[in-house]
Amino acid sequence: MATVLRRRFTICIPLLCATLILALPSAAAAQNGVVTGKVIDEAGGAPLEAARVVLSGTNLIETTNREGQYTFRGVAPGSYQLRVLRVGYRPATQQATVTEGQTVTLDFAMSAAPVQLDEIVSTATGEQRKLEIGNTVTTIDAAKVAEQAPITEFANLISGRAAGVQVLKSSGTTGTGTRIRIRGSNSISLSNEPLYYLDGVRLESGSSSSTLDIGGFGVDNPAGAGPSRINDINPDDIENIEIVKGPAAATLYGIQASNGVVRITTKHGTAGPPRWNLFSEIGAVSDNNTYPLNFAGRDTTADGIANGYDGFCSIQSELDGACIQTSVQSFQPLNEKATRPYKAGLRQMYGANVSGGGEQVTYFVSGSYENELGPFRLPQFEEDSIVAARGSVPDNQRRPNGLEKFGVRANVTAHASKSFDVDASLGFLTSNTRFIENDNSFLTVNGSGTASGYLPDFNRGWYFIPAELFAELATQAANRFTGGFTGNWRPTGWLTGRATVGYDVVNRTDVQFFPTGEVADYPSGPQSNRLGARSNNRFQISQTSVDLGASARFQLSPAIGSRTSVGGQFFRDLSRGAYASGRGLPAGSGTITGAQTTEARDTTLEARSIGSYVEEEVSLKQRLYLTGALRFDDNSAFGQNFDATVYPKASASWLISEEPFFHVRALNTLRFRAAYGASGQQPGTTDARRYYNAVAGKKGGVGTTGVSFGSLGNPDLKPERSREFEVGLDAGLFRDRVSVELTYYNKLTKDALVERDIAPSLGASRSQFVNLSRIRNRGFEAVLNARVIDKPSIAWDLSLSGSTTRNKILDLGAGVSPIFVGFYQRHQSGYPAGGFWAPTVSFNDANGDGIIDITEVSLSDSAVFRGSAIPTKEASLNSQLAIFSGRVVLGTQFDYRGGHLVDNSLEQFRCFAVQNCRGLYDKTAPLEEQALAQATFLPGGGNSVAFLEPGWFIKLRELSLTFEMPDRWAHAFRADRLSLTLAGRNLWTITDYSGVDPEVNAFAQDNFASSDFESQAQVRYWTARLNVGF
Amino acid sequence: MTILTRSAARHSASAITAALLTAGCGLLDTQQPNIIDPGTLNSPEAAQSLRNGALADFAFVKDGDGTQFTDGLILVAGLLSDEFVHSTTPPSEQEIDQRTTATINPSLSDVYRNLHKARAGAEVAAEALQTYLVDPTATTDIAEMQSIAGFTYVYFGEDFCSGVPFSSVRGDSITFGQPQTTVEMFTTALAKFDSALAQPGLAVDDGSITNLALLGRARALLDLGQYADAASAVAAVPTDFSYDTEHADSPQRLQNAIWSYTNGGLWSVSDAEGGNGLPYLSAEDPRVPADSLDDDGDGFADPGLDLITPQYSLGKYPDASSPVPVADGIEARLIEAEAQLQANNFSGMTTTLNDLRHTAIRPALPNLSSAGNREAAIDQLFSERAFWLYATGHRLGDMRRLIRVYGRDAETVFPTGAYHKNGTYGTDVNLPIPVEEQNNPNARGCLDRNA
Repeated sequence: MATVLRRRFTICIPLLCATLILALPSAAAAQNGVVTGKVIDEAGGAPLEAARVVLSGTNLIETTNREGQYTFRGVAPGSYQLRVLRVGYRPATQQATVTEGQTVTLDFAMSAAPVQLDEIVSTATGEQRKLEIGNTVTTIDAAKVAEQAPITEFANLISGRAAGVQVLKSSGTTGTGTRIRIRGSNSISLSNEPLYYLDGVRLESGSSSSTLDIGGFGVDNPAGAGPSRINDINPDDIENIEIVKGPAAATLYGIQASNGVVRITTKHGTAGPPRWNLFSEIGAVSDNNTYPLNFAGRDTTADGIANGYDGFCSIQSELDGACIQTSVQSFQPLNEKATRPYKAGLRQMYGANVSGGGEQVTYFVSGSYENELGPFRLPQFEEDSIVAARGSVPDNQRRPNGLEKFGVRANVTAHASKSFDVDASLGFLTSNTRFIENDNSFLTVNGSGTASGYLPDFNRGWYFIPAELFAELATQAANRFTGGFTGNWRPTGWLTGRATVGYDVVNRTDVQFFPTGEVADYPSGPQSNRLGARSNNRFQISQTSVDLGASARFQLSPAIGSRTSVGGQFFRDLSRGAYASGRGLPAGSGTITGAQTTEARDTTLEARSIGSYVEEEVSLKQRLYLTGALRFDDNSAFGQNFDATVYPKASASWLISEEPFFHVRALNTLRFRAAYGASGQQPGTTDARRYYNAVAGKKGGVGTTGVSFGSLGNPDLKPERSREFEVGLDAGLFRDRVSVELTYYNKLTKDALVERDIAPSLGASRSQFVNLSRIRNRGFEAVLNARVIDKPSIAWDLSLSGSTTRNKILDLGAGVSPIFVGFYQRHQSGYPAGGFWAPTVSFNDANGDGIIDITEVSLSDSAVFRGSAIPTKEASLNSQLAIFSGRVVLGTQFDYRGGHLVDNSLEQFRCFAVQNCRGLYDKTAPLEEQALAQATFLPGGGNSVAFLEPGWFIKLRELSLTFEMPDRWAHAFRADRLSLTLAGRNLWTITDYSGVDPEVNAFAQDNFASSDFESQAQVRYWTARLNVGF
Repeated sequence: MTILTRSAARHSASAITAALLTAGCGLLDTQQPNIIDPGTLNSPEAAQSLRNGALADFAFVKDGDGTQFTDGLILVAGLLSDEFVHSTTPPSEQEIDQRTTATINPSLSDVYRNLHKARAGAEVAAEALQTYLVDPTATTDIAEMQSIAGFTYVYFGEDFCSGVPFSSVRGDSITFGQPQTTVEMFTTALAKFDSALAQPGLAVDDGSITNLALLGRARALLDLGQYADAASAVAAVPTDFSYDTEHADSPQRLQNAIWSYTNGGLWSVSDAEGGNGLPYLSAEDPRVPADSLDDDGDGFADPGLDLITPQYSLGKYPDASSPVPVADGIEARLIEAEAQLQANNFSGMTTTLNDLRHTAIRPALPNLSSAGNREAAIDQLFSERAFWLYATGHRLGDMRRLIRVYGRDAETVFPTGAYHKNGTYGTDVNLPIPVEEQNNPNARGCLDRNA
């Protein structure tokens, strides 16, 4: 392998600085006092766990344990200020004077406050107070949410808890993934998913991590609704989640950060005896949806039967005199009790963790087991017939969808000295998920149930019967290790340094098996799965990250402070995979070995990036904070002709309420903030390269191997560049019982990478990546938090958050014709990326007979913009009502999304392709429904008429009731704490959408493409969870 | 295997920085074994790889993809003509069958792009063979590549509207082509075949590549209306000659997708489609063997995947590895018969056709009676061509010639009236140029949609 040196002076100077700073000798100092105490909730007196106690002037921070206790040992004699911070509480401060050999005890009682600017958040340069940062950062108290809300996967922790963050769950099938968009979509052709860090380690976060062919669309996305790797993370291991929303805030995270950054911090131990927490969760997963009826126009006359009209005698056919509707019948096997392939699945999760430690070492160790059966079940009559024929039904055929996860985590912090500690964060997960065909396929229960043209007298109304559909086995086994070591060094009171080395690796095995003779005869004929087929694809996907940083704080004068930070990162993404498959298996065989035809191939993709930054923050009287920074990046995927890139950042934060002139009684906190920053997104690994691919051939009866043009490449390829300006305010009113956060952002992506079609006549690849377009996202975010009632016995917290996003392609690029996405979507200048375009349908019941015939329907001449495919408005209302001094807590979350359209392709398909929709046959159907059905049969209508509908909805997403048992009950079980939570998810929907569920997407986690087509709708969860603390 | 290397490194200013750069910044080299650098394709072996790739791409676009993700030219053109009816569900394919193909149709885009890729691949391979082979005069491969390229021009001319541009990539140079009219496409094809026939390497040919080029030449001449020249070009081609695209059971990309589609419930053999189509089923002609199932016992053929269209599977290609003719001796005789038709030698034409019916199939087919007049002779010839050349990519071109050359009205040649899955047939007589070609600054779309 050739080695190429890259010399980037600009990048490496900060790296050098960081290294040199970290290499400074430690200053040993005599420190022998102790500061200790307890932190409690002022309202109920309960100890507060996970509060951060900061010993000013030392860089020492301790976290309270479950009893609310903290201890600083070996503190040098002197006067200190102790500041206690916790999410959801007003900070508390006390002075301590430490003398040699003595212990100072300081207890704190904290009062609740919805949002606090003193809260410490993690940034690219280290930990900082929110106040110092000129941009908004959302912090989610994940530990609390996971315990009290119906959280079945990581994405649930985020959903509805951060303004401007959209969690788009594409399907209700257990194990399927999620799209997450922060402040809209920045990129036309690259991923719009945010970056994820766990304890400082960059994570592999593929939003659809699968090669299983379980639906979906086309060669580019054969996998359908695969799992999102981010859901590998056990929500119960997480302490908090911080969401950094855009380039203005994420500049220093470097390349790929333009979509925002999600920082996950797992739980860590605190000094003290071992403290155990156990939980047990049990629940049900059920499908509560109603599916559209399949219609048929019967013509039972002899002519009708002979001419093939029995079942297909449409309104139009009758008008044309081709048949006589003797009756119109309807049926839906997905709705009928006897034929429904659904039954509530059992969800179980058990976990335990222990934390504690001594002065030198603290630890947090956890383990969890999760087992969930999806809502699908073989109908009883089919199970009976299989049992009669074969004696038994395999479990995977009876319950074809489910997942099983086992995870362990060990976080250890070693305090090597007063100035140096090392934190190890190690997590391992093994999971097995059994999928069901999920989108765009007759092999889905949705597709087979809704696309059937038959009446219940054939196949009980199914296209393929569930017994055949469920005989297919599609599994993914994943083993994931995420490990990181972070060294924190505080050689002096003014200097901190850190170094993190992380490795995240997923070993994945995707197996799909069609047992011979047992599955649906699809595709029919010699390629049928029924002849037996199996694929076995194995992948290893890894991310290596190295992060070095150092910060120095100086007080330049009594009024002016300075914080200087430098750092650098290296990332390596590596994906290696091998595919093997065989078709034509002997009956009873479960292996590719011996298959009639076999195929194999492998793939390797690698990308590397390196970057560094320098940041300077200046504070004035601890009220005004000004920050400026530069980030330098280079990446292996840039074109030959492009060098490294530089991203600037600047922000200001002004706590105006602390100014002497500020006197507004009700407004006790007011902060204005503004931030500007740029970030980027790297091209794909080989996007810049011109290359050929190997292809197999045959000549003269002999196999050959050849090469075929693969990609045109682009040697000028560079990262796309997003710059964002955000401005906003944070206000605390009525002694911080009410807080308001308002933000306006304007994000412009320049040089956006466009995978533009190239002229096919070049005989090259389909497309080429070019830096051409400009995309703008702008919008408002608002968060209102209020403690509506604040009494010792009752407290009611409300949080209303919402955002708007206006996405627009300002310029797709000179000479670039509109880019088509999905079924009816386009990227076109002047319109939202991936917006829906289709001709409009007009109709007029000219003869007034209440029937729309095809002559009464017309299409506009061309496709026109119809609306956004992604919600442009979202809002969430979270409520927590705590009564009996917090012993009983009722939580709800309402989730709204709107301002977009949903493509009801299923109904279009049912009208045009399989011809079983109501509008075709039922003369009492609304005229608009008849007109849409008819329009598909106008010339070109089958491919252009889109059934687009407003997609707004309000869902009662979460409902939970938590009982904190009296202490004596807990003590009866020798426990310190006992709580029970009953919770439900996806309980109620209000929408105008006529399809089953406006949330689903048959394109799964595709970047833009969106359609409701034979996907499993969202399912309902009910869970009961018991938490025990020892 | 390719190693991605970056631009020349900058010299650093100091030893410390250099050391740091080595340790921290020289880490951007990556291994990419899945791609092949064009710079490595400069040897005789590489030229052979280009040839093999071009042949694979040609078979892929002509006969389709066994994975059923990408429709092939014979399938798509057969759908637009009267050979096949659509028996599955994707609307984009149905609109081709219904003669209403939009320029954004994905099936159209795939076949258009892949046909250009096969063309460009054959042209590049021919040049590479000429450049890198030690003795390019001792191989038929160059002539073969030029012939394959010639056939792609023929396909463009026969199946697509007038106005197809032909662009090229050579090294770092990209040349966008100007639109060619239908006649220009056939003329370009003719030049390709003439170049092939002029290759000195044909001296070592066993006849197969020479015959391939001759048949290509004759086909282009036929499309240009030069019937006598076409007939003389193929006079020496034996009737049992055949040059095929070859297929295999695996990988699926190499499978014969005509077999896969027509036996998998996606495309059905048609019968008098839209009134004007030929009776491929009811004629019960062994040249178009077709079969159906009646598993539900209702007395009707079981439907295809759309559950609407009766499914008749084609038996002409019995399995995934069945070869598909590009050009054969039967076509040579048919070209001669058409020259006789053009010379008003109707009885001679029928004799030629009957000779084929006796010699080219077992058991022999019964004789045709002599066509009494020109129109009957045209019907007879084109029917015979349709049955002999069924599912080989000839029929759409023939239907267009019936309009363009023989003066038939499109609505008496193409399927018309009510479509079997509701709606009506449109008016397409060829495939349009897909919208993606607008990225060629010279492209103007179809110059006309005439036959």
